[in-house]
Amino acid sequence: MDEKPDAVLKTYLRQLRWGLAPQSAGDRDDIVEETRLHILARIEQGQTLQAVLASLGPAEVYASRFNDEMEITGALGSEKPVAVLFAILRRAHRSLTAVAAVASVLALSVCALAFVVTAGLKPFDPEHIGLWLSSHGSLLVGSISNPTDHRELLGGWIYPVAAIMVTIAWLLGRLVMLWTLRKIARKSHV
Amino acid sequence: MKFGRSKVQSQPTGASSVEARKAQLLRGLMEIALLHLLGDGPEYGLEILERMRRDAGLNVAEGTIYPLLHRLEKGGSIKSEWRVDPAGGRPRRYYALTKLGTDERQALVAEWHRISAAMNAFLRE
Repeated sequence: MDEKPDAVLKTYLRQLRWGLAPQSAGDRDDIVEETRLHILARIEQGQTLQAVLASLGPAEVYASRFNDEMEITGALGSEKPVAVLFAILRRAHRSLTAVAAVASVLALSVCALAFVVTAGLKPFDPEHIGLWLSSHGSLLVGSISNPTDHRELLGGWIYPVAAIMVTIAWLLGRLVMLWTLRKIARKSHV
Repeated sequence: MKFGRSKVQSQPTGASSVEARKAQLLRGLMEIALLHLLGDGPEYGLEILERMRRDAGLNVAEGTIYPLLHRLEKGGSIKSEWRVDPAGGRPRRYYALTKLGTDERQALVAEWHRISAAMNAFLRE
């Protein structure tokens, strides 16, 4: 490394600060200062600057560890569905569990939405809209053009059933997301 | 052996699979060891790292201790404050258990004793 040690350290700390952009200014200052003091203490113990920086890892990777830990802890602490969902989505490219969770939540949401839309449109065209059972035994929720070879199953019960579907989707989706993020958190602690 | 994130996140194959499993096994232990260590009183990051290596036998990678400390602080298990060394040394950020962290420490250590005793007996069979 041709640069002077002071310049190398300053560059590393500057890159670390950039990488910590998602953190508050106070947290950023604390982490950068703590890292600087840690590095100086290691150098006083006889290690070279290069060895200390190598043990910490590249600045952007080191920063991402803080960002990951903070984001996951914040989302789990608040239990806000949007925060939890975004934390999972940001890890979907590197976690099969996250992909499966997002797919499950999406399927639950689409199912609940189909019942809500059907219940909302039911009063306008009750002859063609509802939960249908075809002569082949398949189920369809929504609108059909020819109801003669289908049997409508719910009638006015579509409204409470839609409410139940939304509740189930909400509770189950929330459970799946929290379980997934806790699992991801357990894997990323070291 | 270092328990670095990059090793853990890679897809394990062959010998690296064993290393990845060892890392997985020791992940939770880091948190228990940290909370137990802080039960002795406030400590700063470098000393925590050294004691986890020396006293707990966990070869914790250098770049993993501070993210863990910050996560536990954000979660309310520990708190921190900057202290200036009266002898004129550099300031240090000391970490200490909160009431929540003390309760978590007791629960986790008790669970560890229960599991380790059961597993030791099981593995001797």
